Order: sequence, then structure tokens, then C-alpha cells
Amino acid sequence: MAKQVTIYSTQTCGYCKAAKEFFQANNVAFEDIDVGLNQEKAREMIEKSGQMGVPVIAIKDGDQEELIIGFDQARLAKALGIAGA
Amino acid sequence: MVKKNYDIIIVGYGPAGVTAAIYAARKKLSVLLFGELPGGEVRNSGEIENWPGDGVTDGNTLAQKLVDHLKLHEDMVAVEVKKVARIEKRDDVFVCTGADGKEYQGKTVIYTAGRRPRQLGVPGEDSFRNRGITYCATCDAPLFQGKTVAVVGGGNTAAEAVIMLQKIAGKIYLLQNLEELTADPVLVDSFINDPKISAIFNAQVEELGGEVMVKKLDYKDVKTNEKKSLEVEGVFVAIGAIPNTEPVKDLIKLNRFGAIEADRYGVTSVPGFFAAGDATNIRDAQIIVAAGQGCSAALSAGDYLVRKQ
Repeated sequence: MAKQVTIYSTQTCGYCKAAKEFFQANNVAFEDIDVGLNQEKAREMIEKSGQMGVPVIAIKDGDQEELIIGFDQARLAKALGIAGA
Repeated sequence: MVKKNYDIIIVGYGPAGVTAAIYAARKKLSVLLFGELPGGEVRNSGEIENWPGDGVTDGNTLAQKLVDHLKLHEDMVAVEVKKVARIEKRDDVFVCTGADGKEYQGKTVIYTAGRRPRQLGVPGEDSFRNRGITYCATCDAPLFQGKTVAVVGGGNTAAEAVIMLQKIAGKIYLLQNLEELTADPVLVDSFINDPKISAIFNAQVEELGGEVMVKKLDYKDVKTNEKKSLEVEGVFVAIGAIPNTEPVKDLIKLNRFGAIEADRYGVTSVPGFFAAGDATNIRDAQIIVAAGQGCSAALSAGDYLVRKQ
């Protein structure tokens, strides 16, 4: 089963946009949550990650969830099994 | 396996680096470009109204246009989205080591790694980083809906943070360590009379405190030496930027601010090593100036390669 990818982002954040561009370029489906608009999800992101910086990217593989804070293309590629990125 | 020896290694994925790569590619020079954020720090700019030809645009849009333009030269330009740890010169070759330990070789280097936000350097800053303390208002401001926040700084970046927060935060303290703001009047005029904003002058931040998240900002009035405290739920630090020159500090002559000393053609203290944009001793840290310098540095590198043949 494919990994479920969720990105907690804000509309203006460049790192968030770069991460989403990377997903799109590699055909990775993702759920985009705008924590600027959704206060409840903003709290969820802060609880999950223990911090307030965006983006927070959650990659769920069955029961396992990997959280990546910030834009780190090498780490995203590894977590998603994207070769050569 | 023999490592590929690129004509030019470019460090930096912003306007200077991308422009240098485009000019180099058009001269059929092989390029390897490193950068952590495609399009560079520009991506974190809000609205941009001084990039000729675009009228009003924004950081994300311009950054993506730079990335897309560079893709037209994929045949000559390889891109590695990663951090560079160190650059050395061994014999006649520049060796660039990535943060992952991998080594890459180039006949020349164009260094355009830009600047990053300066930190306050006060107790509590590291503990509450991203726990209420942020250096990117464009990124994080929307998370401070209705909250009481402090913006530290008095220049254009601080003013832009205030303007962005005006629509979001409940109360904004603007703390400047000088007697007045240095931001452009056109920016200051748009918020200075807003009752939700209190500008505090001569304020030197001394400590940030809290529990899980930041809650308190202590400062000193530098005129009276009086110590004061503010209850805040967010602190936006906008006190300038420092050059990203650590990977080359042992190789290239830097000025006392840590910026690379480069002339108008991008020539530095080491032959074959060129620099452009905000990592240099540039006066005007502007997108268009960085792009122009990137062009000059690429033409200088091309000229250097021809002469060496």
C-alpha cells in the first residue's frame, strides 16, 4: 500500500511550496492542510511535532509515521523511496 | 571510477546561482549546481514589486520561474538539492564536499550561497526556536492568529513582518534597539498609527523565556538601563542577515562581516573562484543585483576557462 503523505503548510511559506513541488514532480499524492486557516489542525501539528514551524510533513506507512520538519529534499526522497532525487 | 570534473560548480539556487547557470549553459559549459531551497531565499519573500517585467509578483512564483527556466538547460546543468559542507582547492581542482560526505570536482566555482537570518544571540533563543520564535514571518505568521507577538528589528524585514502580522495577530510589539526605525517610510506609514501596534525604541532584547512555548521577552532600555518584560506568544526576529560562507572560510578572503570580498566581475582572492549575490560584500541585497552579479561571475568564469586552455 502506498504511503500516506500529509503536509501541514501555510499559503505563503516557500519551504512548503518547494516540498509540494517536489511531491508533484515525483507523482506523490499528498494531503495539504493549511494551518493558517485551520486552527484545529494547527494545534494537531504543534502537538505532533512539538513545535510551530512549517512545513511539517507526516509520512504514514501502516502504523509507522515519520515526521519531517522543514524542507529536506534528500530526507523526503529517502522516506518516500524516490531514487536519484 | 574517475569523477566528472565540471567546468563550473555553482553553490546557491537563488537568482545569482540560476542566472550564472543559464549564462554558463549558453556557453556550453558543464555545470553542477548545489542548493538547499530551489529558487533560493527569494521563495520566502512575500510580495515582490521591484522585479522588472513582472509588475507585482511573489517570492514563490518568482522562485518557481527561476527553477523552470533553469530546466531548459538540463543538458548542461546538473542540480543537487543538498547542502555543501566545504570547498577546497587541491592542486588545480576545486573539491566540493556535500553535507552527506560525497565529493564533487570542478575547474571553477561560482559561490552564490546568499545569507541567512541573523540570530539575537540571547539566552532562551535556541530553546524556543520554532516554539514561538521564528525567523520567517512569511512562513509562520499565519500560525499566530489573534496572538500577542513581538517583532524584533527596525529595518525593512521587520516592517514587512509587522505588515504581514497586522491582519493576523491580536497585538504587536515592535522592538527596535535604535531611536528610530530604519525601514522605508512607505512601509512604516502603513502601520505606525495602527492602535494594535506598539513600537518600543532603544530596546535591547536580553532573554526569552517560557515553558513549552515562548511566553516572555525581557529587554533593557539602553538609554535608561531600565529592565522590562513583555508577555508574548510569539517572537519574530528580523535583525538582518549573515552570509553563508562557512564552507569557504578557509579558502577565500572574507571581510569582517564574513562576506566574500569580490569585485564587480565576481573575482575573489582565489583564481578560478568567483562569487556573486548576497554572500559577497555587496551593497544592495536585491534580487536584481544578485542576478546581475551572477551573470558577471559566469562570464568571468567562462573567460578564465578559455584563458587556461
